[in-house]
Amino acid sequence: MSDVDFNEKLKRILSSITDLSTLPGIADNLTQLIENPKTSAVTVGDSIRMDPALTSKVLKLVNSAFYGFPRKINTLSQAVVILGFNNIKNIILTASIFNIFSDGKACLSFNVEKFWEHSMGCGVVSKVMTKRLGITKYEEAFIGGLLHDIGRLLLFQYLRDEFEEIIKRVGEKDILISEAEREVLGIDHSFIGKKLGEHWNLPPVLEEVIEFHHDPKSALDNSRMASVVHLADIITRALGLGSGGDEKIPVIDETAMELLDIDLSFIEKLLPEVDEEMDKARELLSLID
Amino acid sequence: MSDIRDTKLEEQNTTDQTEAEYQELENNIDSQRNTIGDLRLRNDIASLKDTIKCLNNEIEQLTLLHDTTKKVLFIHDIDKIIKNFLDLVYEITNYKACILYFYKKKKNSYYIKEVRGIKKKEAESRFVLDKNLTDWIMKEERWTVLPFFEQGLSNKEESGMMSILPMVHQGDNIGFLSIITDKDTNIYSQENIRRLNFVSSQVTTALINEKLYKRLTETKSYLYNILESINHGIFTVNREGTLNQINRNATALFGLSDPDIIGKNYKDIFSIDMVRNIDRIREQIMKDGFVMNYQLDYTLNEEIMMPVGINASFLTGQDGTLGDIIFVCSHMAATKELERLREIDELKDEFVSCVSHDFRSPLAAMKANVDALLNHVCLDDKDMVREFLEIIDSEIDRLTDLLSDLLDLSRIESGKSKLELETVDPVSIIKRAIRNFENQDTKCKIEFNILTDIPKLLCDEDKMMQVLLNLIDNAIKYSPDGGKVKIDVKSDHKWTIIDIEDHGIGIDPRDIPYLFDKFYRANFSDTRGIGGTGLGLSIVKQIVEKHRGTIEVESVPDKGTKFTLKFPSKKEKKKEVVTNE
Repeated sequence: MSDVDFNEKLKRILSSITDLSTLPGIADNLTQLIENPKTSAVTVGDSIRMDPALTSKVLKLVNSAFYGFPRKINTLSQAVVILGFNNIKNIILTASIFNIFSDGKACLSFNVEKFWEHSMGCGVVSKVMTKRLGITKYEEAFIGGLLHDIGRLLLFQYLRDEFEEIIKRVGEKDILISEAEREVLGIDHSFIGKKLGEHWNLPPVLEEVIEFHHDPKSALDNSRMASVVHLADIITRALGLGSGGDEKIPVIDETAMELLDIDLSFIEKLLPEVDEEMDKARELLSLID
Repeated sequence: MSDIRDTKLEEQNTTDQTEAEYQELENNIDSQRNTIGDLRLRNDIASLKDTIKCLNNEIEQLTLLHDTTKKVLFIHDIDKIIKNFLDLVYEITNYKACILYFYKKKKNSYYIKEVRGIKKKEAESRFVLDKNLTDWIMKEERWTVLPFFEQGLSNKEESGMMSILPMVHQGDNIGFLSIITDKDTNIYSQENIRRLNFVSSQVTTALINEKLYKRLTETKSYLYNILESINHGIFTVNREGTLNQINRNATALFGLSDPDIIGKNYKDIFSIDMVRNIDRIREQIMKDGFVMNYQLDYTLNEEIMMPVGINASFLTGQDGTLGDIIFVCSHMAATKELERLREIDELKDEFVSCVSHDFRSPLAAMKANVDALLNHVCLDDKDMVREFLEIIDSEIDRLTDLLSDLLDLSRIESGKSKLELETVDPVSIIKRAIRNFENQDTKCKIEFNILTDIPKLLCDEDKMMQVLLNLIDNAIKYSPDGGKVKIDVKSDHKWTIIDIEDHGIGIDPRDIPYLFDKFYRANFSDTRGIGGTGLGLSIVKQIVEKHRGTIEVESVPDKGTKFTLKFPSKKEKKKEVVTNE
């Protein structure tokens, strides 16, 4: 690929990102609200209530088996105090991003449902892993896993010709989809995901996880979280949960294991819980869509 | 990936047009982002000021919490931890009441550990929590408000609000705190969530530590009790020679009275002799890794010296590294005494068994002969009757000999048979003994040689005679008809040595070590029909040893046997010169 070609493609990618809708005001507001230590459940509830469609979606999601609260949650303020600010923020973020990418045209070579199943699987494994590791930010780990390949979705939806070429190369050369992306575009979905994160003003931890989930040691402040998602991505592929666009399993970056101070037996122990959580997550997926 | 992008961007100098377009695009994005940012800043300037104020406030409060929880973490008293915990939660929530539940793993249920602002009975009856709810909250591991419990503490009060603060650490469930506050919707704020979750995690850690500390203390005390109860002296010394542990038995065994010896070098604690022994043990351990049954005589004081046995080895760490050396010491006197008693016990059993057997044989013979006389033999046949009576007489002699030998042995062993020592000429005793056999109708010739000048002996003449008669009798018994028994006597001034040698059937080398044991009879004796009680040589040995002498035996089967007796010669008393002044 010549430099001219590369620059042309980069320009189109960045342009697609710029053209992409920003997240709804509520998602952005909520991030700011939650950063304020004095914000109360009532304020958050009021803020969401301004968007009736979102309110209805949030109430549907918080009552799903994924969150598994044993009683019915009837109001937004109940939802906030029961599930906590971070879960609510993540629900709104996820619902908004799904909304932006909801009108993608079908493509025979790429199954969007499988893509989201893989993403959800990665989120679930990340959540289970962080809990077992005693990392308190397991809600962030979940959304990090869910959005780690978001850059690929942009390629699928807005750079269809290049995406078809990438998928073709994956089939022909039996290579990882990330390698095919670099061959075709000169960059891969991690870079695109990072740019999307900037565009949507996502929290820094999510931006880093998306950018470095294939190279966790390079993450500056969130290398442990990036390591979790890196391993979760590979575990999800190994378990055959959905598909990220290829069927190959990347090699585990040993530094991720070192950073988390775990071995393969730790991963084996996660699997029963992952199975259980994944069933609930599939229901969540159907509700978001 | 950004590296690839950067590299590519660096190489694009040749394509000015594309560069310009890209730059323009980037600038646009930045400019848009800045514009949005500026707008937000301008619009929300007041909010930002508030946020900064709140953040400063939070830093102060978190610092305070940090200091306080630091104190919680170092407390190992459960009541104090709970008190501090409930105080801290009160500072944050200003609760009306709280109920602390602890988890009981065996029953998979919770019980009330502590209450504040409410009576325990009321807490049990009015604030019963659904198990599914508590399980869900414990799994979520964060402070959760339960909007379904909006009720006051009494009917007169306005409604309140209940929230649950779980105490979980990496799956280790300690319990939870139910917090009942006024119905204040602002209480559930990010600030309070963070504070309460932080306090809970610190208290949970403190409670886990308290459990571990308690278990550690119990284990330590248990091990200490074992160490102190063991019937051995135990101490450990590290590579540098510092004494790291010592039990009461060891301090008693070695007579160490200093109460503060732990931490000192063993060279400053033990006697010079003991230090030398420890040095030797350490050297051997360095070489072989362990020392078994190291024996030493420990001088406790001028009057007491005791045998001590030591086993020593390295203590190993969990990773297999070699640590301190452990010394296990025992007072061997008791052990030796036990061994002696066990031996005596065994001998007694053996003795009873042998005596029973040896008594039964002549008794059985007598019984058979008497029975024959009473029931079968015609009493008119006097020769036949006499024959039977002679057998009975001979068996009575056998029994008498046996009894006499047993009595002799018993007297000698018990010390009741005292030697009546007098100065005698051994040559004359030997000659008398030989005469004893010459008077009998002996089948052997006895040759007596005096090889040197023989000094006199201090001995019990009768006992000495008993020894010689026994040995000469044996020599004759085991010699062939017409054989020769040679007796040599000589002296080297220190010892008077008597050899009694035959050229008979000899003794199997396997029998020699047991020859002087009671009731031991070499295999051939029975088979060749040679009688005896099996006590003779045992008595001989006892008598010789009472005279501070020795007895040795050399034998070659079918060639002959030589017994050598050695007695200390009587020392000539220095003549005292008495002068009349």
